[in-house]
Amino acid sequence: MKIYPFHLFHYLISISKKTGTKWIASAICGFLIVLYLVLTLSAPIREYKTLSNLAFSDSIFMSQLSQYTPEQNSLLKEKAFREAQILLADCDSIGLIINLHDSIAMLVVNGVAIHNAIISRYRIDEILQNLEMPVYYKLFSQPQTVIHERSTIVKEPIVVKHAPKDTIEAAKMIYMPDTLEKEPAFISFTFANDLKIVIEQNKRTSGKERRARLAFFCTEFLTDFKANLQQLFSFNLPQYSPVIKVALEGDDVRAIYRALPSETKIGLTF
Amino acid sequence: MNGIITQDEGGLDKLSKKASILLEQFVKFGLSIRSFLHSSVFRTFLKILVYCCIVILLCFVVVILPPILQHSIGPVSRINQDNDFLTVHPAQPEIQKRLEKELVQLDKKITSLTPRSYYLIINSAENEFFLYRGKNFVQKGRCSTGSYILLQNGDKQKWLFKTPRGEFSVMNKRMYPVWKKPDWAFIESGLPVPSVNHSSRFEYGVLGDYALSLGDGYLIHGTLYQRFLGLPVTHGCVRLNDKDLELIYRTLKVGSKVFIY
Repeated sequence: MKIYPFHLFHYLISISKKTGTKWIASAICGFLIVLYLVLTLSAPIREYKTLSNLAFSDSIFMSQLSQYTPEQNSLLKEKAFREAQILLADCDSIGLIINLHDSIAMLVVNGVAIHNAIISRYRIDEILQNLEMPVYYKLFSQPQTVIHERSTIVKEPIVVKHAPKDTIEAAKMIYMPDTLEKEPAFISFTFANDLKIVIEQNKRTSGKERRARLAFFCTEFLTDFKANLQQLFSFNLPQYSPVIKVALEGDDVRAIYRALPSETKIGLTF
Repeated sequence: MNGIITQDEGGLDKLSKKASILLEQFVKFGLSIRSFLHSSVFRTFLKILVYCCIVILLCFVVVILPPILQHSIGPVSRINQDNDFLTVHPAQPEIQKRLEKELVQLDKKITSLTPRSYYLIINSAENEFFLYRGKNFVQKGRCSTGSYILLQNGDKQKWLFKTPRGEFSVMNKRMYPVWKKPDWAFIESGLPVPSVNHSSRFEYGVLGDYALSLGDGYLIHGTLYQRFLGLPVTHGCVRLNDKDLELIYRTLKVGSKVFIY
């Protein structure tokens, strides 16, 4: 006996009649989940194309770079980094330089390194590792501007104190900071060109630190998921931000985060 | 002999009785478990468990798995394969030399940004200072910086005791500085605020032997409360111990850079 699409349709209807709408709802949910996964997992490729187009569509920029050969890539990377450092030095505020080659994160003001922190480990997204030299040069020959930041520590640990009425009340109100209590430090900076840097403390010895890390990354996942769903509901494709994850000493993370002003600039090389 | 056998038989009897009771209890227990497994309560519990597992699995697949996979997805092939940049040119020594020269020039430019004379770096997060001369480290020590206390005097006035961050220059240097107490010093102590030039505003010896001004009323000075060094307790100024203050007073000139972060 031949099976026609008509039979299949009839069969599905009969199932739905038998078991209610459960199967149809499950099938629709399954389809939506698969669609979501396919669109989300293809986002890095779209982002790679977008980043590539930034460089390759700029004919003047490409003609300047066309004289170099792939053997000169390492020198070009160094040049891009130096140019970013000089541009960062032109800004009056404190900036950050992340040099993954030398595993160093530096705070700089007007080109002067004021704090050095050793990067104990890092991870770069596959997309960024595979950038072609013109794209790399276009992206990293200038400092990145932070447009959004999120962290587990406060920028300014302000303690509100009301003026005492008299000297007796003032004597009772003497404040002593607790230097032993150190908040777990996890930060993420999102740049104008969708890149993201996550800086985390390298040691997680206490339960509080482990919980803070879990909460930080769960919030990251949920934020991404929410953004993706919003994109899908407005008939847009999900977004993807290439991530560079860096681990430093907790004290360094806190010092760096508290030193950086809002909408800071970060120079990067890897 | 017989007596012994009877005693043994009695023991066996007791043992078999105990065993039968145990077996009976075990069977009862088994039956109760069986009835529990067949009960609607257990089935509902099992259903909830399965649904929970499905929800957790779905959450993992939809929320956690995609970002994890995204980070390890790379391009299958590079986009502009036929672009000029990627075609292998014969090595051009002039271009290589020019590029190397450019790098040296950029390096020189970056190095020239670091002051050659003495300059001070203050880490307000850790309350430490570092004295440098050019690229050379000279001295490290503890200091005290702003406490981040926001003092509110009703709704009218408020002051934030914070050390400013960024690049500063030493505006002037003074020996045996006198502190002219601002209004907040009186309000913080619960005292009435005197007139602008009232004698109670002037305190001698509380700022140590030296003071270096960074502008806007911010000073690097000494302290009577040396036990608080290393803690964020000041009203925005930078406090040092007597020995470090003297070294910094002697090494930094008017115009020397002070970097605070």
